[in-house]
Amino acid sequence: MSAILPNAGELMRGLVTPGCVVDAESHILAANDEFLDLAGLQDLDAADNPTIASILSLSEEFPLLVATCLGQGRSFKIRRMPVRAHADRRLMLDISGLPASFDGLSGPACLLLFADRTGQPLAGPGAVISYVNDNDVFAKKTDAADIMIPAQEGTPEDRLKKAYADMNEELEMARNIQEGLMPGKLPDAINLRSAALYIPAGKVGGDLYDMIITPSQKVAVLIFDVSGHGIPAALIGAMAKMLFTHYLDKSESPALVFTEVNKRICKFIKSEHYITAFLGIIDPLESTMVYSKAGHVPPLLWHAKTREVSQISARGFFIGHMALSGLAEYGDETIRLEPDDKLLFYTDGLTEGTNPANEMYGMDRLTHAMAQSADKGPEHLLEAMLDDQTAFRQGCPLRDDFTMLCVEMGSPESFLKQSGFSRNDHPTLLVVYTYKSIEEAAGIILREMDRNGFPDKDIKRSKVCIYEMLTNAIEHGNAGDETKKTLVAYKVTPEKAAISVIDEGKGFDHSHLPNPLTPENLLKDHGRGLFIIRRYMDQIHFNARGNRIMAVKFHREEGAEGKTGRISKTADNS
Amino acid sequence: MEINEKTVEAVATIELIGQLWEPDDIHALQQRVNSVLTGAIKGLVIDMERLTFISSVGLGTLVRVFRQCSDRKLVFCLYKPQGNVRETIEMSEIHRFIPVKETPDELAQAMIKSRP
Repeated sequence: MSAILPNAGELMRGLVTPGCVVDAESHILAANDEFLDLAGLQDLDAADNPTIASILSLSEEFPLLVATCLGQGRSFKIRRMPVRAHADRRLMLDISGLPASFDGLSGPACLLLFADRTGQPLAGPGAVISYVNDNDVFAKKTDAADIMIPAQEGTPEDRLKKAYADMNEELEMARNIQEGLMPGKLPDAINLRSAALYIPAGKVGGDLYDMIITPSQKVAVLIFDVSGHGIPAALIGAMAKMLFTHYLDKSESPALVFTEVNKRICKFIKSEHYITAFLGIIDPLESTMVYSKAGHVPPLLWHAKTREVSQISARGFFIGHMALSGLAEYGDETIRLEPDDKLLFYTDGLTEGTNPANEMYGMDRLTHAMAQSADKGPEHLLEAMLDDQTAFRQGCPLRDDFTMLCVEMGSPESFLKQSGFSRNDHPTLLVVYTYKSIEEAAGIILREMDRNGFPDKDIKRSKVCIYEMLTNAIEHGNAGDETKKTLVAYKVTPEKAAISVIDEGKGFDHSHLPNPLTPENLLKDHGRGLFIIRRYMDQIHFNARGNRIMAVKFHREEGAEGKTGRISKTADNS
Repeated sequence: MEINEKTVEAVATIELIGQLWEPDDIHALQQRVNSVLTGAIKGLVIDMERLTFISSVGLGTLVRVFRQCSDRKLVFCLYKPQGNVRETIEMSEIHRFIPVKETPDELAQAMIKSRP
């Protein structure tokens, strides 16, 4: 113990960690032996006017600081102080509320200890950093103190372990970000079922997938794999995902999307990384898939009629390699799909899984596994295929992460029959979940009516009816559950507008609805929605279940007599 | 939807601007009416001149407000519904029991009758 100010020395009695007491000018008033050892001093007298800055210059290592105490008079209390780091990486101790001074000092002072990030005192080497003013203790703004690196305590092995742990923590964060780019739940697409599985091999892989419903209710299935692993692959993957999404919003041509993404991403990828990708845009009512491939493994197609599995062939160079970007030409191809057909999109980590004999799982086993389980729904099919690959590996770790995404086609005929249209009608589909999206859906249909020359009056009347049908579907049909789907199928021609709204509810008996105009109903605050639809539209039809209403408005010239009349007499309750 | 409110000589006027159909707007209107009805008023006017759209739920709210006013023996009027809003009100025959006023004079006449 060495103390210029004896009272200050008392502060450190019993301390086993390096510590010192400083005044407002950062002069060291007392230091314990552990501190002196650290500073390479015999005692404080040996240093000329020792300050924290001068002591710091003796040390090469600067730990995060920090605990402190302050005493008043002769009775000192040790207490831990809250610590926070400034944006400029200085540390600050809040000592507000502490006694202003103690014997021999005119201003506040504090005892600074070495501590780790958690505030636990360190026994290892380090340096005290202090700057005291009326309220706060700052890190001394010296070159050394500005660099708030953690203490390199412990053995080299300990430090290696810590560095490894830090790296793992960062990789874990990167993986969380990457997984956030994949859909937690696949969107509820029309007339098809789907499921996906992502199996990580390490902290961060290069796989990403997505399923996006286009504005025309087609289903875009995107799967891609960035070469390599780790944070660089994740960063490129994130960037590519944004670009794919951006261009998918503009085009339903997979080839065009690939071309644009390749152009943009080549400018950013400065390394040897590249991307393989497959993009298919499925029309669930036309039962087709337009697709393009960029060096990716071809999806498998299980044909329900023949019960055979085939590969979907395509050619296309991978994306993102600047030097080879001249080879990157993409074309759209189309295949016809049938009801109950299943598509399997995947990444090569699936087929490259190996067993103890170092054999790869391979395409043949994958094809066989799919054929064996193809009668299952998408979710169970993927689980069965995962089980098969896992059993094959016999405990061998995965070399690469992999993704599987399965789509099962529905029957357009039965689906359209449910919507009240036939396949030849080629209706347009919209899906509405929330009240907020009613306006958008109605706007699309009403603009179509406007383009087909419907009179303004009929468009306004139809607006009321579309709002009524959709509000009823959400509020009553789906019982206000905005996770349930309300499907809108519509067809507008110059002759008529037909709008069908289907909810997921049990349906209702539309044949026994009260007339809101009868005296006993006139003062009720509900029951006018269907009445308005009947009056404003020319035809309405319900399905037998009562969960679908179809309303038709015929095109009449402006001024033609409608069903609604003028006010002949108004009430007066005054 | 925007809701404005003013009270002049014990007649409260609630002005509706925009579209009346969303549950949140319906709720907001009902709350505003409930608040107005706690005051010392003799009449309530819903100014619909700048209301561009109304649904059956909006109509139902007007009917409910009418009943609230009747219970309190307050005069209740709709003022200047336009276009399709007016047509929908007429078609639903709400105007048979809720007066619809077209001019300030008509409105003033209706409210004069409300005074003791």
